[in-house]
Amino acid sequence: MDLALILEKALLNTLLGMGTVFVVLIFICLLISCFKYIPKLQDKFSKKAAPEPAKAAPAPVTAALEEEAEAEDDLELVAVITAAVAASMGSSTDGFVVRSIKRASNRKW
Amino acid sequence: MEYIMDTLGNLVHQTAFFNLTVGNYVMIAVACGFLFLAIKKEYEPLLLVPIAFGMLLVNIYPPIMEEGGLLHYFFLLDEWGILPPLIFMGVGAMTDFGPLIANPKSFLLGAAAQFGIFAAYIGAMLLGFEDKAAAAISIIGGADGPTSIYLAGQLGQSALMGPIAVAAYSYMSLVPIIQPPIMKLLTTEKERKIKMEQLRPVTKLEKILFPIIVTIVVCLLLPSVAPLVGMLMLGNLFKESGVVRQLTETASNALMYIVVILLGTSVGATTSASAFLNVTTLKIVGLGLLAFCFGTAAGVLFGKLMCKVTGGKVNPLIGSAGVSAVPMAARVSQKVGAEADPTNFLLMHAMGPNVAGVIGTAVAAGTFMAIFGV
Repeated sequence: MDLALILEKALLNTLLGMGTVFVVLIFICLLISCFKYIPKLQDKFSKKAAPEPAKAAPAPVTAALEEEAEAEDDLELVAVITAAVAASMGSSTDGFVVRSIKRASNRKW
Repeated sequence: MEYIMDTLGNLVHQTAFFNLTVGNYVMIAVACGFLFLAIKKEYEPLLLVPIAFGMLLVNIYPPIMEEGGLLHYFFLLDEWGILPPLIFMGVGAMTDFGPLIANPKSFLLGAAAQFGIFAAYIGAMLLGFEDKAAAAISIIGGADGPTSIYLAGQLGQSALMGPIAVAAYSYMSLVPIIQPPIMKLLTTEKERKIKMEQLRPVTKLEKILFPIIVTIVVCLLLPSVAPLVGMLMLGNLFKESGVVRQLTETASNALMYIVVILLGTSVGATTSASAFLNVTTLKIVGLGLLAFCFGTAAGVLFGKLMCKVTGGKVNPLIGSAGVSAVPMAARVSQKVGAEADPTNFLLMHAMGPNVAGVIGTAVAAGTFMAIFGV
Protein backbone atom coordinates (compact mmCIF):
# COMPACT_ATOMS: atom_id res chain seq x y z
CA MET A 1 0.00 0.00 0.00
CA ASP A 2 1.32 3.44 -0.66
CA LEU A 3 1.53 6.10 2.02
CA ALA A 4 -1.49 8.12 0.93
CA LEU A 5 -3.74 5.08 1.10
CA ILE A 6 -2.42 4.06 4.52
CA LEU A 7 -2.87 7.56 5.83
CA GLU A 8 -6.39 7.75 4.46
CA LYS A 9 -7.34 4.50 6.14
CA ALA A 10 -5.70 5.48 9.42
CA LEU A 11 -7.42 8.86 9.48
CA LEU A 12 -10.76 7.33 8.63
CA ASN A 13 -10.47 4.76 11.42
CA THR A 14 -9.36 7.51 13.81
CA LEU A 15 -12.37 9.58 12.94
CA LEU A 16 -14.70 6.61 13.37
CA GLY A 17 -12.99 5.49 16.58
CA MET A 18 -12.84 8.89 18.25
CA GLY A 19 -16.41 9.52 17.11
CA THR A 20 -17.65 6.29 18.67
CA VAL A 21 -15.82 6.96 21.94
CA PHE A 22 -17.36 10.42 22.16
CA VAL A 23 -20.85 9.31 21.20
CA VAL A 24 -20.89 6.47 23.74
CA LEU A 25 -19.45 8.56 26.56
CA ILE A 26 -21.68 11.57 25.81
CA PHE A 27 -24.67 9.25 25.89
CA ILE A 28 -23.68 7.87 29.31
CA CYS A 29 -22.90 11.41 30.43
CA LEU A 30 -26.45 12.52 29.60
CA LEU A 31 -27.96 9.51 31.36
CA ILE A 32 -25.87 10.02 34.47
CA SER A 33 -26.74 13.73 34.47
CA CYS A 34 -30.30 12.66 35.21
CA PHE A 35 -29.02 11.02 38.40
CA LYS A 36 -29.07 14.39 40.15
CA TYR A 37 -32.85 14.11 40.33
CA ILE A 38 -32.65 10.83 42.24
CA PRO A 39 -31.92 12.40 45.65
CA LYS A 40 -34.84 14.81 45.10
CA LEU A 41 -37.18 11.96 44.23
CA GLN A 42 -35.94 10.01 47.23
CA ASP A 43 -36.61 13.04 49.43
CA LYS A 44 -40.14 13.31 48.11
CA PHE A 45 -40.88 9.67 48.79
CA SER A 46 -39.32 9.69 52.22
CA LYS A 47 -41.21 12.86 53.13
CA LYS A 48 -44.49 11.21 52.21
CA ALA A 49 -43.59 8.25 54.36
CA ALA A 50 -41.93 10.15 57.17
CA PRO A 51 -44.62 12.17 59.05
CA GLU A 52 -46.44 9.27 60.73
CA PRO A 53 -43.54 7.51 62.43
CA ALA A 54 -42.07 10.90 63.24
CA LYS A 55 -45.15 11.74 65.33
CA ALA A 56 -45.08 8.43 67.09
CA ALA A 57 -41.45 8.46 68.08
CA PRO A 58 -39.74 11.74 67.32
CA ALA A 59 -36.85 11.37 69.73
CA PRO A 60 -35.13 8.19 68.45
CA VAL A 61 -35.41 9.32 64.84
CA THR A 62 -33.65 12.60 65.44
CA ALA A 63 -31.05 10.90 67.59
CA ALA A 64 -30.30 8.42 64.84
CA LEU A 65 -30.11 11.22 62.31
CA GLU A 66 -27.70 13.13 64.49
CA GLU A 67 -25.52 10.11 64.87
CA GLU A 68 -25.47 9.57 61.16
CA ALA A 69 -24.64 13.20 60.54
CA GLU A 70 -21.84 12.98 63.06
CA ALA A 71 -20.33 9.93 61.40
CA GLU A 72 -20.47 11.69 58.05
CA ASP A 73 -18.90 14.82 59.54
CA ASP A 74 -16.07 12.73 60.92
CA LEU A 75 -15.38 11.21 57.53
CA GLU A 76 -15.28 14.65 56.00
CA LEU A 77 -13.02 15.84 58.75
CA VAL A 78 -10.68 12.90 58.18
CA ALA A 79 -10.50 13.73 54.48
CA VAL A 80 -9.78 17.37 55.20
CA ILE A 81 -7.09 16.61 57.79
CA THR A 82 -5.46 14.02 55.54
CA ALA A 83 -5.40 16.46 52.65
CA ALA A 84 -4.05 19.25 54.84
CA VAL A 85 -1.24 17.10 56.25
CA ALA A 86 -0.41 15.85 52.76
CA ALA A 87 -0.27 19.39 51.43
CA SER A 88 1.97 20.65 54.20
CA MET A 89 4.30 17.68 53.85
CA GLY A 90 4.22 17.99 50.08
CA SER A 91 3.49 14.31 49.64
CA SER A 92 0.52 12.24 48.51
CA THR A 93 -2.13 11.00 50.93
CA ASP A 94 -1.40 7.29 50.68
CA GLY A 95 1.42 7.19 53.19
CA PHE A 96 -0.71 7.70 56.29
CA VAL A 97 -4.19 7.29 57.70
CA VAL A 98 -6.13 9.41 60.18
CA ARG A 99 -7.20 6.79 62.71
CA SER A 100 -9.21 8.80 65.17
CA ILE A 101 -10.24 12.32 65.98
CA LYS A 102 -10.57 13.35 69.62
CA ARG A 103 -11.80 16.62 70.94
CA ALA A 104 -9.10 18.30 73.02
CA SER A 105 -10.29 18.88 76.57
CA ASN A 106 -8.62 22.25 76.59
CA ARG A 107 -10.55 24.44 74.18
CA LYS A 108 -7.93 27.19 74.01
CA TRP A 109 -5.53 26.45 71.22
CA MET B 1 35.50 -43.97 33.78
CA GLU B 2 34.37 -43.21 30.28
CA TYR B 3 30.79 -43.37 31.50
CA ILE B 4 31.45 -40.78 34.18
CA MET B 5 33.15 -38.42 31.69
CA ASP B 6 30.25 -38.80 29.25
CA THR B 7 27.68 -38.12 31.88
CA LEU B 8 29.58 -35.14 33.20
CA GLY B 9 29.93 -33.89 29.64
CA ASN B 10 26.18 -34.21 29.11
CA LEU B 11 25.48 -32.40 32.35
CA VAL B 12 27.79 -29.55 31.40
CA HIS B 13 26.10 -29.25 28.02
CA GLN B 14 22.74 -29.24 29.78
CA THR B 15 23.61 -26.07 31.69
CA ALA B 16 22.27 -22.86 30.33
CA PHE B 17 25.71 -21.56 29.39
CA PHE B 18 25.75 -23.61 26.21
CA ASN B 19 22.23 -22.79 25.13
CA LEU B 20 21.92 -19.06 25.69
CA THR B 21 22.58 -16.26 23.25
CA VAL B 22 24.17 -12.89 23.96
CA GLY B 23 20.66 -11.44 23.84
CA ASN B 24 19.59 -13.70 26.69
CA TYR B 25 22.40 -12.37 28.85
CA VAL B 26 21.41 -8.80 28.00
CA MET B 27 17.83 -9.57 29.02
CA ILE B 28 19.00 -11.22 32.25
CA ALA B 29 20.84 -8.00 33.05
CA VAL B 30 17.72 -5.97 32.20
CA ALA B 31 15.60 -8.21 34.45
CA CYS B 32 18.05 -7.71 37.32
CA GLY B 33 17.88 -3.97 36.70
CA PHE B 34 14.08 -4.09 36.94
CA LEU B 35 14.28 -6.14 40.13
CA PHE B 36 16.58 -3.50 41.58
CA LEU B 37 14.13 -0.74 40.62
CA ALA B 38 11.21 -2.70 42.07
CA ILE B 39 12.80 -3.76 45.35
CA LYS B 40 15.25 -0.99 46.17
CA LYS B 41 13.41 1.96 44.64
CA GLU B 42 9.92 0.49 45.24
CA TYR B 43 8.92 1.35 41.69
CA GLU B 44 5.52 -0.34 41.20
CA PRO B 45 6.82 -3.43 43.03
CA LEU B 46 3.53 -5.31 42.89
CA LEU B 47 3.80 -5.54 39.12
CA LEU B 48 7.47 -5.16 38.47
CA VAL B 49 8.67 -7.99 40.72
CA PRO B 50 6.63 -10.70 38.94
CA ILE B 51 7.25 -9.18 35.49
CA ALA B 52 11.01 -8.93 36.04
CA PHE B 53 11.16 -12.45 37.42
CA GLY B 54 9.26 -13.85 34.44
CA MET B 55 11.75 -12.02 32.24
CA LEU B 56 14.62 -13.59 34.17
CA LEU B 57 13.22 -17.13 34.00
CA VAL B 58 12.43 -17.14 30.30
CA ASN B 59 15.88 -15.91 29.38
CA ILE B 60 17.63 -18.53 31.51
CA TYR B 61 15.33 -21.35 30.47
CA PRO B 62 13.47 -20.47 27.24
CA PRO B 63 11.42 -23.72 27.14
CA ILE B 64 9.42 -22.44 30.10
CA MET B 65 7.37 -20.48 27.53
CA GLU B 66 7.10 -23.33 25.04
CA GLU B 67 4.41 -25.99 24.88
CA GLY B 68 4.58 -27.84 28.20
CA GLY B 69 6.31 -25.02 30.08
CA LEU B 70 4.72 -23.55 33.20
CA LEU B 71 4.60 -19.92 32.09
CA HIS B 72 3.25 -20.97 28.70
CA TYR B 73 0.08 -22.10 30.46
CA PHE B 74 -0.09 -18.93 32.53
CA PHE B 75 0.23 -17.01 29.28
CA LEU B 76 -2.68 -18.86 27.69
CA LEU B 77 -4.88 -17.18 30.30
CA ASP B 78 -3.75 -13.80 28.94
CA GLU B 79 -4.14 -14.88 25.36
CA TRP B 80 -7.64 -16.23 25.94
CA GLY B 81 -8.61 -12.92 27.51
CA ILE B 82 -9.32 -14.31 30.98
CA LEU B 83 -6.92 -12.47 33.26
CA PRO B 84 -7.43 -8.85 32.10
CA PRO B 85 -11.20 -8.85 32.79
CA LEU B 86 -10.53 -10.36 36.23
CA ILE B 87 -8.16 -7.49 36.99
CA PHE B 88 -10.88 -5.14 35.84
CA MET B 89 -13.26 -6.73 38.33
CA GLY B 90 -10.77 -6.02 41.11
CA VAL B 91 -10.32 -2.45 39.90
CA GLY B 92 -14.09 -2.01 39.88
CA ALA B 93 -14.34 -3.32 43.43
CA MET B 94 -11.81 -0.71 44.55
CA THR B 95 -13.06 2.27 42.54
CA ASP B 96 -15.43 4.91 43.80
CA PHE B 97 -17.38 6.31 40.87
CA GLY B 98 -18.92 8.98 43.13
CA PRO B 99 -16.92 11.91 41.70
CA LEU B 100 -17.95 10.89 38.20
CA ILE B 101 -21.63 10.62 39.16
CA ALA B 102 -21.48 14.02 40.85
CA ASN B 103 -19.89 15.60 37.78
CA PRO B 104 -20.90 13.61 34.68
CA LYS B 105 -19.20 16.17 32.42
CA SER B 106 -15.99 14.37 33.41
CA PHE B 107 -16.97 11.75 30.85
CA LEU B 108 -16.10 14.24 28.11
CA LEU B 109 -12.57 14.63 29.48
CA GLY B 110 -12.26 10.87 29.73
CA ALA B 111 -13.22 10.67 26.06
CA ALA B 112 -10.92 13.49 24.92
CA ALA B 113 -7.84 11.90 26.47
CA GLN B 114 -8.38 8.82 24.28
CA PHE B 115 -7.12 10.89 21.37
CA GLY B 116 -3.63 9.74 22.31
CA ILE B 117 -4.61 6.20 21.32
CA PHE B 118 -5.63 7.26 17.85
CA ALA B 119 -2.60 9.52 17.39
CA ALA B 120 -0.43 6.48 18.10
CA TYR B 121 -2.59 4.42 15.75
CA ILE B 122 -1.87 6.80 12.88
CA GLY B 123 1.80 6.82 13.84
CA ALA B 124 1.97 3.02 13.92
CA MET B 125 0.30 2.74 10.51
CA LEU B 126 2.84 5.17 9.08
CA LEU B 127 5.69 3.18 10.61
CA GLY B 128 4.54 0.19 8.61
CA PHE B 129 2.64 -1.88 11.17
CA GLU B 130 -0.36 -3.68 9.78
CA ASP B 131 -3.84 -2.60 10.85
CA LYS B 132 -4.48 -4.86 13.82
CA ALA B 133 -0.94 -4.58 15.15
CA ALA B 134 -1.21 -0.77 14.97
CA ALA B 135 -4.46 -0.86 16.95
CA ALA B 136 -3.01 -3.18 19.61
CA ILE B 137 0.04 -0.95 20.03
CA SER B 138 -1.89 2.31 20.12
CA ILE B 139 -4.04 1.30 23.08
CA ILE B 140 -0.93 1.83 25.25
CA GLY B 141 -2.00 5.49 25.07
CA GLY B 142 -4.89 4.65 27.36
CA ALA B 143 -2.28 3.92 30.07
CA ASP B 144 -4.22 0.83 30.94
CA GLY B 145 -2.25 -2.43 31.16
CA PRO B 146 -5.13 -4.93 31.28
CA THR B 147 -6.94 -3.37 28.32
CA SER B 148 -3.72 -3.37 26.28
CA ILE B 149 -3.16 -7.07 26.95
CA TYR B 150 -6.80 -7.88 26.31
CA LEU B 151 -6.93 -6.09 22.97
CA ALA B 152 -3.62 -7.57 21.81
CA GLY B 153 -5.00 -11.02 22.61
CA GLN B 154 -8.33 -10.43 20.89
CA LEU B 155 -6.69 -9.02 17.76
CA GLY B 156 -4.37 -12.03 17.56
CA GLN B 157 -1.21 -10.04 18.25
CA SER B 158 0.28 -12.25 20.94
CA ALA B 159 3.72 -11.86 19.35
CA LEU B 160 3.61 -8.15 20.25
CA MET B 161 2.00 -8.67 23.65
CA GLY B 162 5.30 -8.64 25.57
CA PRO B 163 6.61 -5.29 24.36
CA ILE B 164 3.09 -3.79 24.50
CA ALA B 165 2.50 -4.89 28.09
CA VAL B 166 5.94 -3.84 29.27
CA ALA B 167 5.57 -0.44 27.59
CA ALA B 168 2.05 0.06 28.96
CA TYR B 169 3.01 -0.80 32.53
CA SER B 170 6.21 1.26 32.33
CA TYR B 171 4.39 4.35 31.14
CA MET B 172 1.72 3.87 33.80
CA SER B 173 4.41 4.18 36.43
CA LEU B 174 6.08 7.06 34.59
CA VAL B 175 2.89 9.17 34.65
CA PRO B 176 4.26 11.52 37.35
CA ILE B 177 7.31 12.24 35.18
CA ILE B 178 5.75 12.47 31.71
CA GLN B 179 2.60 14.46 32.41
CA PRO B 180 3.55 17.58 34.43
CA PRO B 181 5.73 19.29 31.77
CA ILE B 182 2.97 18.90 29.16
CA MET B 183 0.33 20.14 31.59
CA LYS B 184 2.36 23.20 32.52
CA LEU B 185 3.20 23.95 28.91
CA LEU B 186 -0.44 24.02 27.85
CA THR B 187 -1.97 25.94 30.76
CA THR B 188 -1.47 29.41 32.16
CA GLU B 189 -0.67 30.11 35.80
CA LYS B 190 -4.14 31.64 36.17
CA GLU B 191 -5.86 28.52 34.83
CA ARG B 192 -3.90 26.27 37.15
CA LYS B 193 -5.08 28.32 40.12
CA ILE B 194 -8.78 27.87 39.32
CA LYS B 195 -10.62 26.39 42.28
CA MET B 196 -13.53 24.14 41.47
CA GLU B 197 -16.89 24.05 43.25
CA GLN B 198 -17.31 21.30 45.79
CA LEU B 199 -18.91 18.16 44.38
CA ARG B 200 -22.45 17.37 45.48
CA PRO B 201 -22.89 14.37 47.76
CA VAL B 202 -23.91 11.20 45.94
CA THR B 203 -26.50 8.85 47.44
CA LYS B 204 -26.12 5.11 47.78
CA LEU B 205 -28.95 4.46 45.33
CA GLU B 206 -27.13 6.43 42.63
CA LYS B 207 -23.94 4.49 43.23
CA ILE B 208 -25.81 1.20 42.92
CA LEU B 209 -27.63 2.26 39.74
CA PHE B 210 -24.44 3.51 38.07
CA PRO B 211 -22.74 0.16 37.32
CA ILE B 212 -26.02 -1.39 36.20
CA ILE B 213 -26.90 1.44 33.82
CA VAL B 214 -23.38 1.79 32.42
CA THR B 215 -23.23 -1.96 31.75
CA ILE B 216 -26.56 -1.96 29.96
CA VAL B 217 -25.81 1.12 27.86
CA VAL B 218 -22.19 0.37 26.93
CA CYS B 219 -22.70 -3.33 26.29
CA LEU B 220 -25.79 -2.69 24.17
CA LEU B 221 -23.92 -0.15 22.05
CA LEU B 222 -20.58 -2.03 21.88
CA PRO B 223 -21.13 -5.70 22.77
CA SER B 224 -17.49 -6.59 22.10
CA VAL B 225 -16.48 -4.63 25.18
CA ALA B 226 -18.80 -6.55 27.51
CA PRO B 227 -16.05 -8.72 29.07
CA LEU B 228 -14.05 -5.68 30.18
CA VAL B 229 -16.76 -3.18 31.11
CA GLY B 230 -19.03 -5.94 32.41
CA MET B 231 -16.41 -7.20 34.86
CA LEU B 232 -15.42 -3.66 35.88
CA MET B 233 -19.02 -2.83 36.69
CA LEU B 234 -19.68 -6.18 38.37
CA GLY B 235 -16.78 -5.49 40.73
CA ASN B 236 -18.17 -2.04 41.40
CA LEU B 237 -21.66 -3.40 42.02
CA PHE B 238 -20.17 -5.85 44.56
CA LYS B 239 -18.71 -2.85 46.37
CA GLU B 240 -21.65 -0.47 46.19
CA SER B 241 -24.46 -2.94 46.82
CA GLY B 242 -22.99 -3.52 50.28
CA VAL B 243 -24.62 -6.94 50.57
CA VAL B 244 -21.76 -9.11 49.28
CA ARG B 245 -18.85 -7.95 51.35
CA GLN B 246 -17.05 -11.30 50.97
CA LEU B 247 -17.15 -11.04 47.17
CA THR B 248 -15.90 -7.44 47.24
CA GLU B 249 -13.13 -8.49 49.57
CA THR B 250 -12.13 -11.44 47.36
CA ALA B 251 -12.33 -9.55 44.07
CA SER B 252 -10.26 -6.63 45.31
CA ASN B 253 -7.72 -8.59 47.35
CA ALA B 254 -7.12 -12.33 47.08
CA LEU B 255 -8.33 -12.87 43.51
CA MET B 256 -6.79 -9.63 42.27
CA TYR B 257 -3.34 -10.56 43.57
CA ILE B 258 -3.53 -14.15 42.31
CA VAL B 259 -4.28 -12.72 38.89
CA VAL B 260 -1.46 -10.17 39.19
CA ILE B 261 1.01 -12.99 39.88
CA LEU B 262 -0.16 -15.08 36.92
CA LEU B 263 -0.36 -12.09 34.60
CA GLY B 264 2.89 -10.49 35.73
CA THR B 265 5.07 -13.57 35.39
CA SER B 266 3.58 -14.62 32.06
CA VAL B 267 3.80 -11.13 30.57
CA GLY B 268 7.39 -10.85 31.77
CA ALA B 269 8.09 -14.20 30.14
CA THR B 270 7.05 -12.91 26.71
CA THR B 271 10.25 -10.89 26.66
CA SER B 272 12.63 -13.61 25.53
CA ALA B 273 15.65 -12.08 23.82
CA SER B 274 14.57 -13.25 20.36
CA ALA B 275 11.12 -11.67 20.72
CA PHE B 276 12.12 -8.53 22.59
CA LEU B 277 15.51 -7.28 21.42
CA ASN B 278 14.55 -5.88 18.04
CA VAL B 279 13.56 -2.70 16.26
CA THR B 280 9.84 -3.44 16.65
CA THR B 281 10.13 -3.12 20.43
CA LEU B 282 11.86 0.24 20.03
CA LYS B 283 9.07 1.42 17.74
CA ILE B 284 6.43 0.24 20.21
CA VAL B 285 8.10 2.01 23.12
CA GLY B 286 8.38 5.19 21.05
CA LEU B 287 4.75 5.00 19.90
CA GLY B 288 3.64 4.41 23.49
CA LEU B 289 5.33 7.60 24.60
CA LEU B 290 3.78 9.49 21.67
CA ALA B 291 0.34 8.12 22.60
CA PHE B 292 0.78 9.12 26.19
CA CYS B 293 1.86 12.68 25.43
CA PHE B 294 -0.93 13.22 22.93
CA GLY B 295 -3.50 11.78 25.34
CA THR B 296 -2.37 14.10 28.12
CA ALA B 297 -2.32 17.10 25.79
CA ALA B 298 -5.75 16.33 24.34
CA GLY B 299 -7.20 16.00 27.85
CA VAL B 300 -5.74 19.30 29.00
CA LEU B 301 -6.81 21.11 25.82
CA PHE B 302 -10.35 19.79 26.16
CA GLY B 303 -10.21 20.91 29.79
CA LYS B 304 -9.31 24.41 28.56
CA LEU B 305 -12.28 24.32 26.21
CA MET B 306 -14.58 23.31 29.08
CA CYS B 307 -13.01 26.06 31.17
CA LYS B 308 -13.91 28.64 28.49
CA VAL B 309 -17.43 27.29 27.98
CA THR B 310 -18.26 27.21 31.69
CA GLY B 311 -16.77 30.65 32.27
CA GLY B 312 -13.77 29.48 34.27
CA LYS B 313 -15.40 26.88 36.51
CA VAL B 314 -13.27 23.96 35.30
CA ASN B 315 -9.56 23.71 36.01
CA PRO B 316 -7.96 22.38 32.80
CA LEU B 317 -5.47 20.37 34.86
CA ILE B 318 -8.08 17.72 35.60
CA GLY B 319 -8.21 16.94 31.87
CA SER B 320 -4.87 15.15 31.94
CA ALA B 321 -6.37 12.63 34.37
CA GLY B 322 -8.51 11.38 31.49
CA VAL B 323 -5.78 8.88 30.63
CA SER B 324 -6.82 5.98 32.78
CA ALA B 325 -3.83 5.27 35.04
CA VAL B 326 -5.93 5.23 38.22
CA PRO B 327 -5.21 6.91 40.58
CA MET B 328 -1.75 8.14 39.56
CA ALA B 329 -3.02 10.52 36.88
CA ALA B 330 -5.48 12.12 39.31
CA ARG B 331 -2.72 12.57 41.86
CA VAL B 332 -0.59 14.30 39.25
CA SER B 333 -3.42 16.79 38.57
CA GLN B 334 -3.67 17.41 42.31
CA LYS B 335 0.08 17.92 42.61
CA VAL B 336 0.46 20.28 39.67
CA GLY B 337 -2.57 22.25 40.89
CA ALA B 338 -1.15 22.46 44.40
CA GLU B 339 2.16 23.73 43.01
CA ALA B 340 0.34 26.74 41.54
CA ASP B 341 -1.77 27.27 44.65
CA PRO B 342 -1.17 25.13 47.77
CA THR B 343 -4.77 25.58 48.89
CA ASN B 344 -6.17 24.09 45.69
CA PHE B 345 -7.48 20.54 46.06
CA LEU B 346 -8.19 19.02 42.68
CA LEU B 347 -7.90 15.34 43.62
CA MET B 348 -11.60 14.52 43.85
CA HIS B 349 -12.37 16.58 40.73
CA ALA B 350 -9.63 14.74 38.85
CA MET B 351 -10.91 11.32 39.95
CA GLY B 352 -13.99 11.89 37.74
CA PRO B 353 -12.09 12.11 34.43
CA ASN B 354 -9.71 9.46 35.73
CA VAL B 355 -12.33 6.74 36.17
CA ALA B 356 -14.12 7.95 33.05
CA GLY B 357 -10.80 7.34 31.28
CA VAL B 358 -10.94 3.66 32.26
CA ILE B 359 -14.36 3.36 30.65
CA GLY B 360 -13.15 5.47 27.70
CA THR B 361 -10.13 3.25 27.05
CA ALA B 362 -12.30 0.14 27.22
CA VAL B 363 -14.73 1.73 24.75
CA ALA B 364 -11.83 2.62 22.44
CA ALA B 365 -10.65 -1.00 22.62
CA GLY B 366 -14.18 -2.16 21.86
CA THR B 367 -14.33 0.20 18.90
CA PHE B 368 -11.15 -1.30 17.47
CA MET B 369 -12.59 -4.79 17.91
CA ALA B 370 -15.76 -3.68 16.16
CA ILE B 371 -13.80 -2.05 13.31
CA PHE B 372 -11.81 -5.23 12.74
CA GLY B 373 -14.85 -7.42 13.18
CA VAL B 374 -13.49 -9.43 16.11
